[in-house]
Amino acid sequence: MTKPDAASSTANQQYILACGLLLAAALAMVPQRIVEPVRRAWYDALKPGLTGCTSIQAWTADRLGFLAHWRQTAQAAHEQAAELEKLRRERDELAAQTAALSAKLQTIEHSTPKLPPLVAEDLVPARPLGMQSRAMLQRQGILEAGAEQRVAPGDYVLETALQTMDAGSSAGLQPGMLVLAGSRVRGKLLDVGEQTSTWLPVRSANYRDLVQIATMHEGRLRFGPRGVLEGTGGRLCRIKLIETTTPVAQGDYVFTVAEESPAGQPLWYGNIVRVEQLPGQSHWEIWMEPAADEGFTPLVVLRRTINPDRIGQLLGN
Amino acid sequence: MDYLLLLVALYLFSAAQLAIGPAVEIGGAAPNLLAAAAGVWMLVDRDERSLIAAVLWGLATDLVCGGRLGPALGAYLTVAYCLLWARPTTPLPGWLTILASMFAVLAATLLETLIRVALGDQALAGDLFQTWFTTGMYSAAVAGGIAFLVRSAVAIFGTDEPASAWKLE
Repeated sequence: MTKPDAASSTANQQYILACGLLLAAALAMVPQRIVEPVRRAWYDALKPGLTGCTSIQAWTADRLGFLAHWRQTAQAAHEQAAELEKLRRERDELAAQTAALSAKLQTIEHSTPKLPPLVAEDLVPARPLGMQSRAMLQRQGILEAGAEQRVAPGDYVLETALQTMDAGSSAGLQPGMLVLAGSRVRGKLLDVGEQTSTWLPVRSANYRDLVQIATMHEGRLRFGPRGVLEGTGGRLCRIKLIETTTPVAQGDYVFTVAEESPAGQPLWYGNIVRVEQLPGQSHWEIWMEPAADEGFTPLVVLRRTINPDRIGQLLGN
Repeated sequence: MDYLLLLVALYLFSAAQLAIGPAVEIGGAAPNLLAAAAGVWMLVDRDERSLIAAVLWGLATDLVCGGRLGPALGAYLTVAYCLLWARPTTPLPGWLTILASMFAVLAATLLETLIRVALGDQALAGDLFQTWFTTGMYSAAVAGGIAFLVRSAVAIFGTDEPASAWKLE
């Protein structure tokens, strides 16, 4: 077979080009109703090849599945990084806003004259009275506190529940004030006489108070849900109305709520010793052991009075 | 060129275009595997056989990709003729052959798109950019890969086919 010369080859190429372009133009003018059957026939002919390609594609995807996994992981990491960056920006903006508000607050505080607190709190020392002391005071007609509750020395209820102390209204005490032993709550004043008062220990069956649970986290107290403490007359007290959706655990601390505490510092009631969830109940059954012992230790009463400094300042103005 | 090999390649690439093309989309752009293969095949022969191959690749593209018949045929044939006319008599270096195949794909895709716009098959503004720039670039990259594989295969197995343009230099 001889090789064609360059001139005839170029002519052939031009001839093929012309014919090809004419063919393309002619095909472009063919109506779709004729084109579509041809195209369908071509698709039908391609079906075995399509099946083979799909099989190869599935096989490859199966073998290279880890690539897709890497891609998804990389995408997730990228999204998380973007989210982190966004949160950092928000944090910085919030920090800037906080700094601006703090500066503004300081300015306001400096420009506003400070008033002393309206309610002053102080501690009144008292001593518990034993049976002999109460009997003696009863004989002298001094033990008037508790008379309204029909309690008397030697009474079983008085022996087990109500306690007596040697401070009363002459020391500014009023019913409802907290009786403390150090920073631990021992009970509440129930009835106040001139020189003596009766008080209800935390363990007593009639004792009620609003409390809050706190957890020790990394050496710091983290305050959590609030509930109602009630005495049972036994060794342990019960805390109610804390929903099971809030986390509570054995060993958590129980304090007075901040607004009822002196200078906002909560007072210690005790520790949780048992947490139960009864079937069908939406609240925890929590048992607390009071922190204060029941001995005849010195007592103090948290007394609240109108702050004379505040009144004096108001009168001065 | 072996016409039987061409027909087998036409069949396989047509099937692959339908089956694999949509699966390897990147950002909504799928490659035109037939255009990529055509761009490589245009450089196999140095005579009228490359024109005949371009006609067949164009016809297959028209059949597979929908729309009117003819635009791809005309575009591929024109680009193949221009390559034939512009190619030097001495064989091209390997990397330049790969670049030439990629350029052929870009040019053929652009020309085909312009013809379809002229015939009213596509809108000028959005489709021109989408079809040519994204699909054309993707197809050109695939063509570069195919050209590299063909060159490597020729270098390893040392066959006489594809033609001398691939194996000399």
